[in-house]
Amino acid sequence: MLDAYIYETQQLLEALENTLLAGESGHRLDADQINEIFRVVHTIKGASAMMEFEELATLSHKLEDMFALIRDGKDPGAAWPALFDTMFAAVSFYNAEMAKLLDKQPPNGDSLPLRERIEELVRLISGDNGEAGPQPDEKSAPEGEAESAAPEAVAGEGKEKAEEPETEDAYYKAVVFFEKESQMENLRAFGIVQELEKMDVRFAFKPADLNAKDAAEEIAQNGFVLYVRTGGSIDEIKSVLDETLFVRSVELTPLSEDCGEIPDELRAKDEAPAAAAPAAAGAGEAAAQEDSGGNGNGGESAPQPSGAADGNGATAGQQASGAAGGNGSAAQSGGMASFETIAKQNFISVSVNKLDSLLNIVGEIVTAQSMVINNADFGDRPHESFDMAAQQLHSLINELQDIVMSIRMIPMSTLFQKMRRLVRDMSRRFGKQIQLEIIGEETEVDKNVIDYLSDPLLHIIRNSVDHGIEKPEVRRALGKPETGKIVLEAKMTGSDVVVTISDDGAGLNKEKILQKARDKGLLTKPESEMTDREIYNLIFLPGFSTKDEVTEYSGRGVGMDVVRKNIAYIGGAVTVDSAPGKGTTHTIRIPLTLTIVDGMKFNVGKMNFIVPTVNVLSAIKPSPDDVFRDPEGNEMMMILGKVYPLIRLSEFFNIHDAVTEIADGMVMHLSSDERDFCIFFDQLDGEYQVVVKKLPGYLEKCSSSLKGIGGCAILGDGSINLIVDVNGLAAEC
Amino acid sequence: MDEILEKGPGEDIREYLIFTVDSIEFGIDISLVQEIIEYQEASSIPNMLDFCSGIINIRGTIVPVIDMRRKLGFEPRVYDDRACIIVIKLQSELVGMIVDGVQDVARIAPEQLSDSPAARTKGEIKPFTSKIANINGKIKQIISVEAVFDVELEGEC
Repeated sequence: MLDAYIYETQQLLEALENTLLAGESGHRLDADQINEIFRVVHTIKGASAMMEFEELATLSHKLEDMFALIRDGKDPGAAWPALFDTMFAAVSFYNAEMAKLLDKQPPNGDSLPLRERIEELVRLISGDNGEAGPQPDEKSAPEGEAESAAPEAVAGEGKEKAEEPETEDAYYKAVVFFEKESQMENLRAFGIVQELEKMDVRFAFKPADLNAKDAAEEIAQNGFVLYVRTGGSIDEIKSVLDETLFVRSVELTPLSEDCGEIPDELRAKDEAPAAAAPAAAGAGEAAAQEDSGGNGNGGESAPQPSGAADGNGATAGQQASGAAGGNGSAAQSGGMASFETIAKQNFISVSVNKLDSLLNIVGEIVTAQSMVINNADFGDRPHESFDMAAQQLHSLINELQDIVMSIRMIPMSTLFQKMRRLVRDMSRRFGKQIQLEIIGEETEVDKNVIDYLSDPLLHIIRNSVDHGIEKPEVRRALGKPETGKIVLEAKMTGSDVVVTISDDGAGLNKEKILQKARDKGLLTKPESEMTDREIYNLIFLPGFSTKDEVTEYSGRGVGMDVVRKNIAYIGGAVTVDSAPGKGTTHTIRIPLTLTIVDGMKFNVGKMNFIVPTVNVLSAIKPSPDDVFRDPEGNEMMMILGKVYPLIRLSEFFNIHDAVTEIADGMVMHLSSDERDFCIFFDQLDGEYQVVVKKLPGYLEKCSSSLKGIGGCAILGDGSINLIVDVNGLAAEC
Repeated sequence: MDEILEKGPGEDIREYLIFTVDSIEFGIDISLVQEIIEYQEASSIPNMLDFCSGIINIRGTIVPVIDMRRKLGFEPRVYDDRACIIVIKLQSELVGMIVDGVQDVARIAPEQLSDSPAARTKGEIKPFTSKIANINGKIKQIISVEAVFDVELEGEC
């Protein structure tokens, strides 16, 4: 339950943030966006109240009030920037509370400062338009006022059903008492209202305003009084009441039609049903005018019909005071509707752990399948029908594998959108003008990749904003446009996803980097031999930070190190390139699928390796004449007239039982991002499709270096094969 | 020690898996032990350090294996059928330790345990044996998993 709440709220917050960001770029929100925000806030409010997170519910309530005002035509005008700031602050507040909940801590944040800001805004917004000026404190006035506006208990209506002949309808009065310890009686009552709304009945209830402060108390004392008008059997309603949690007793009495106790609205509801919804919604407007929308009821009208309500406000006017409470429930059904739309999309959320184990099992199935199909027991006997069955199995398993992989793929957009917020907040803080351009956010990658990519992206973008892009006046002086630009791009290239983050800022300072590296003793080779690129990439070394002072956002010198580690963890690599004065580009390269690769198997001594087929250019039986060493001892090989570095894996990996004579072994010509090179090994052993497993972390402690190894795989015969990380190996030659 | 003695018998008794390396009895906190499997030859890894035997495949999970003889400083030998691999869980990963044999599970009360004298004298360097159990005159050395496997665990075991 809590999980679902957190998940849903987070989704809503994300949507909210995106809407806000979209709105802010236009410096205002359009009608659709306002409705969207209203809906989201309302849903959060309902859900939070259900979960009894008072602070969150109250805050949402305030926000909702504010947006009700705006939606009803009050233009914040000059207050827009403050409004955006407040909304972003609110989103952050919610997110922090969700994080607490995820951490199994109570959401104990204090929303009072935020609420005060909102009240201030509401004052501004309603004041700006010079509308019949509601007093500031009226807005925070107790919701109990609703009752003075709508003295009699009020109606929620079954909108669809009006054609029922009225004469046959029977009236009932039900008084529901809740268990003493149930608490939040008004919410329990709200639950009943929601249930009844799903049914084909008309009803009214007392107290009319379940959001009112004293509603809970009143229900506790006098019971929750329901007036029901139904053409059908009362039993259904009785069972709803009986099944409600914490209900202690239900007194159900039939009322005669002319009984004075029956609320007028219940009787009057025989008017054209079409009027019902706009009436309720219009009531929101009417009520808003009456009490400036400051209380729960007045402010809440169902979002959907609001367009109609705008026009119909006047016609609905005479019903307004009576329907104000009903309007509350209509709005609540609006909240319900948005829950339902989410449900209707037919998405379910699944724990990633389950997906992980599913993927693991599929991996095992692939392995087991090859064990069965290549089983030695078959020998050389022909087995045609088996082959056919095996072929079918094979294609089914392939399909299964594809599906499982696709389940785990999610678009980059969620991740990229998070960066929008970061850039926005930071550029304000540092007084810079920055535009973030996002390209290719629809690119899909494995869920794990997204998780590990999040922190690196944050760090890199922070750096770009903080260290990269200059202040507007500096940029002007340099003849650059005042608004800096950061481009975040994702694209697919063959087996990899490449994410680039480029800015048009100052670029990296080569001298400063060198100086820093020298000071910290991070240089491993003579400066004169280092290329620009190598110098720039020093920033990824642990403990490196060129910024002298530490800021809130970056500069602790752990950032880029973490970036590299995180990316390496998912088998990726990060590089940086820069042009002084023109900007910096970070390139992150990550394998698209973390899990299944086509590979060529070979061995060096007793050790078995798999090299991804995509990296293999050719495999050759070498002639000793083509292999030579330069005076420094670097071994090279000539292939078709071109010379490539040659790595003897037995030396590189320190394997003693391997072939040493060039003529006895084999050479594979590999291509990596950086360069083409050759490796020397013992023997080629066929092509396999393997499931990549991560190397156990503890292995770091068992080996002096695991460079050049990207993972491992278990083959059908149970043997363990190490997967060659071609890019890692290329860096060593 | 006083504090420990105040507790009644039965409290704080912990179970240890007793295994032998070069006929010396060692114990390890049984709550760390996942399973015990037959000895099997491990596949080597690149640039393998000498106390490591390589990696093995336990039902699809890759598990690094440590040769306890080498790790604890005994003469290496070729293992036979009596040798076992004790699989333990370290920081949510499995690690195997090859031992000469597994004996039994001993219930050891705190009063039967004493700190290794080496732990006091050596200061910074953690000795592999952290505690010594005296069970009816028989000595069992309780290994410090943190020291042997060079890891930091939450809560000392």
